[in-house]
Amino acid sequence: MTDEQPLSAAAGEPTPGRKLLEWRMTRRQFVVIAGGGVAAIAVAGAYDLSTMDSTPGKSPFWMVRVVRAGRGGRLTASGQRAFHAAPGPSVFTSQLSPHAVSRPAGSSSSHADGHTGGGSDLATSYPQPQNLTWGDVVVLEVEVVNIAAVSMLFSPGQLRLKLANGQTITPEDASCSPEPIAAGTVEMMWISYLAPSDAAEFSVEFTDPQHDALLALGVPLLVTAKEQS
Amino acid sequence: MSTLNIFVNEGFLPMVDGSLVYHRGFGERRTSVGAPAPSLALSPHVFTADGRTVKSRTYPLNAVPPPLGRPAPAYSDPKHPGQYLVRRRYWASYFPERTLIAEAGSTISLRVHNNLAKAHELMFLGVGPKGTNRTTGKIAPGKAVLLEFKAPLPGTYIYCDPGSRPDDASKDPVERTLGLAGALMVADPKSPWRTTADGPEFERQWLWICHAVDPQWARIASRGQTVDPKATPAFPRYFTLNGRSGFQSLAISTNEAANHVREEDTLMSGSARHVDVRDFSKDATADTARTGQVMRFLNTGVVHHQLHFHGNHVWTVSRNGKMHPRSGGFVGPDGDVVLQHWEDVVEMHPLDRKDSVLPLKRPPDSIDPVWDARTVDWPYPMHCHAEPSQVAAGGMYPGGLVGHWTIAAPVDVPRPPGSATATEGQKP
Repeated sequence: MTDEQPLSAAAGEPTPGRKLLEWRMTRRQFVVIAGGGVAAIAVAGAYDLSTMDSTPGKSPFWMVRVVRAGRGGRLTASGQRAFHAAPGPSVFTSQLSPHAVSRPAGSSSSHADGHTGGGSDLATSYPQPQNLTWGDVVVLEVEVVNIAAVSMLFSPGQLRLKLANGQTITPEDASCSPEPIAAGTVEMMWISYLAPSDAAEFSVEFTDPQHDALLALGVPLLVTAKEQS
Repeated sequence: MSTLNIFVNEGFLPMVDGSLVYHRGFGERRTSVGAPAPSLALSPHVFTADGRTVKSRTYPLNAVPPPLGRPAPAYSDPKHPGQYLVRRRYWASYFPERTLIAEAGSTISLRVHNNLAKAHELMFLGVGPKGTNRTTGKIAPGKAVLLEFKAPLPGTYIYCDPGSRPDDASKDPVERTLGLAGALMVADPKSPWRTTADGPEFERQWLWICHAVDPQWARIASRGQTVDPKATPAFPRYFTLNGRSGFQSLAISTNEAANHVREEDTLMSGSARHVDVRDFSKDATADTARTGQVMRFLNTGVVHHQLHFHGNHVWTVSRNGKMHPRSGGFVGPDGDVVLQHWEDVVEMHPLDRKDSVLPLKRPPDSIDPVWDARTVDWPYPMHCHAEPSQVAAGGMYPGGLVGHWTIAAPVDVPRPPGSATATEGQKP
């Protein structure tokens, strides 16, 4: 099993404007080895980057866990897209050193217009867009387990990044589309979000409208990405 | 005569932001609420005058489907350099999901199965004598009812579940807002390239179903509770055009198959042409007409929409089945102008139906050097001007009702046989 494979639809095609990020990886499926229920998970192709795992959210139907989290800038210092090609998980593995996001001393907020992330100071120092849209990208690697007895529809949009002030954020991109997950199957995926530069604390909300449930998930230690230019 | 089976279903659909929202819908097969791919919309079907029911995304059935929805022109226009003569009575039109098509003289035969836990109804608004409705009446859970009626006069109609107000469907928007709604288009097979006997001739036509999705109403309904619009006023978050909103509506998603369908059935496109709105059947040659493309707008939702076109105005010809006059216009009781005229914004009240012609003419503000130098498609936005749609989900149209139309790049087609070359003073 390979860790990364280009999405066939991405190769050689014009890049739509919305696809700021486009993960060139296939979804990795892990099959639950069930013996009278969920007994064990056979994992292959684990990443070599270790972070603190968060406690999974669990309902009678889903178990969802943010395995790893990364943070980078949308833009380079010259204002160009930081990820001119599709950034894959390698951005957050081979090129990075994990460390907690911290607020540089003496920095000030870049979001004085009220669109803040709940903090008053910059948490990162990535270049910020002139149009005051959010300049940071937060990427989550998520493990989703269907622990129900039937196939169920899953959409990356069910996971919203939550800021300290309570605002939640729609995914900007994901490595998969809304589609069914078979009973007893584990899916690994990446979901990216834009985020304000002054946001230092994140959590995740998983909404399951089919069962009228809401799960709160923690986010592991963020690692930060260097720009690819 | 064959009967189309319809199932009243429920399920969850992904919205443009990836959220899953509960919907109800008239589907083609029985599915359960937890189905990963619930059947909540009908594929287009055609009830033919000779008694067949044909599943088809295009109509007329024997006409040529335009590649990617875009009709190719017949000739370059010798009188208007850079513009084209478009084929008369040649191209088929693609129709979106939720559309039923009936030919004049046909019988519409439907067997409606209620797959839900409460009673539901399928009502066709204004299709009976003197504008009366045709309905299944309330269908008990687990039961089915046969509904048959003669196709009404050519035009566009709405079908929906009228909820608690079968006497006046406009008074209860809940069930249709949850998804129990769609469109019926009736065409005269003897003149399928006209909206009505006295309506405009067109190159091809498009049908737009405007809608709005309210997640809070959906959540209440998903719990089996009754939505009370007084206690929970409508507050839609997603505004859809033929079922999609935001970037998905613009055919720029990563789903190439969905983009393809979108181009075929929703995003108008064609070559620039010279149109005279006084006569949409004016011909340059026997096989061409100086006409545009017809837009059939319907609003099955709960809010007003304001469809604003860039690049060209549209020529609105009718509302709710009545042709507007060409002179002696007046302002109707709800503020709508009753007159055929150019419109920058087409206002659509809930349950409104309007027909307009998109001329696909050279944009009036394109100066000669720009027009003469064009080599690529020129796309123009269409967006809903209603504020809730513009700012849905906080921003510029992430969940809003948007689309676009395109003047096709110049193509190399000959002049009509026997036509003279460009007159003096005109560019070849």
